[in-house]
Amino acid sequence: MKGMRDFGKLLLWLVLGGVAGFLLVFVFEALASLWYIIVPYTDVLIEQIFWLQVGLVIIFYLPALFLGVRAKKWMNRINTDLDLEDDTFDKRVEQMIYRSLLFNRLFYVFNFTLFGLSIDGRNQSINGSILIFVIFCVASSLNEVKAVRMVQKKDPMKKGDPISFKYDKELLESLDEAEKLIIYKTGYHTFKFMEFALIVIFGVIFFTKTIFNTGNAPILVIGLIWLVQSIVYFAYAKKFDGSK
Amino acid sequence: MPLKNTLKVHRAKLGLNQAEMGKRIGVSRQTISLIERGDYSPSVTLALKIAKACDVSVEEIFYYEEDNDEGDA
Repeated sequence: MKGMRDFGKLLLWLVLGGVAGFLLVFVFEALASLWYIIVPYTDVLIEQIFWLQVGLVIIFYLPALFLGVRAKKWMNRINTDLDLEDDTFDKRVEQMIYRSLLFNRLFYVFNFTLFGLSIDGRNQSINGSILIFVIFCVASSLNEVKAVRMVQKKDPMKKGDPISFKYDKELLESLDEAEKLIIYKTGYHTFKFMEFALIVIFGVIFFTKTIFNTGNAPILVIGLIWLVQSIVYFAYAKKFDGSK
Repeated sequence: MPLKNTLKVHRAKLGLNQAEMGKRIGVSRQTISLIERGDYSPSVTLALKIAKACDVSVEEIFYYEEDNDEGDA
């Protein structure tokens, strides 16, 4: 009886998915007509991608740097000028470091994305694009290392050299039980979210293939990411479960 | 979360902020904050360490309180 109910539920989800997919075709067809209006401008986008990279530095890298410097200043004030009875300033510094790391990570992702797009014959400043990518890749990595060192200075229990390959292991070992739980929960929620996101992205690129003729490469890439994520998840599940 | 605590009161009695309390027990400031807010139930070991740092018994800081929903069930 329960099996029948499960089958019925799955069937209902399949039908609903089919209906949603059918309706999405109309949305994508509307988008397709828009896309063909936009396409001629993509040439301009690639030609001027160097300036987009400069904009990225201003929007993401500089705030990350600014927040890092500000956090360091506040930390020095906590250690010297301020006679603190509560944790307001500690919390403020932690928040600044968190935001600095967030901006830095976003910069990192977009920096790689724009670099990938910039390697194109239409890009008029290809050398500038490569230079800005390399310089700010190093700069944002240094920013991240500085932020980690700041966290370690604030909380000397946190171990690990951020430029060593053993950093993740050493850091994890030095965390207390609540911090470990937070990391495990964050990792699990990220995994679950990515499972959902990959299905949605897969659906989107499936439609873009049929309507915009984007080819098979995006499908293969998403399939590969999905496969790697699933294999890694099951391998670690087996390892930590301890069963042979 | 049914595990309640009076850690904030005991910490105030000692005149320590969260960072100092964390240092004394060997955990981060954030962990003390999570415990005080009731967002994290510490292990037995950590609860004992906290009680020792506050110089009271574990029961004086941590107590179990049924949620209303659980009690009704």
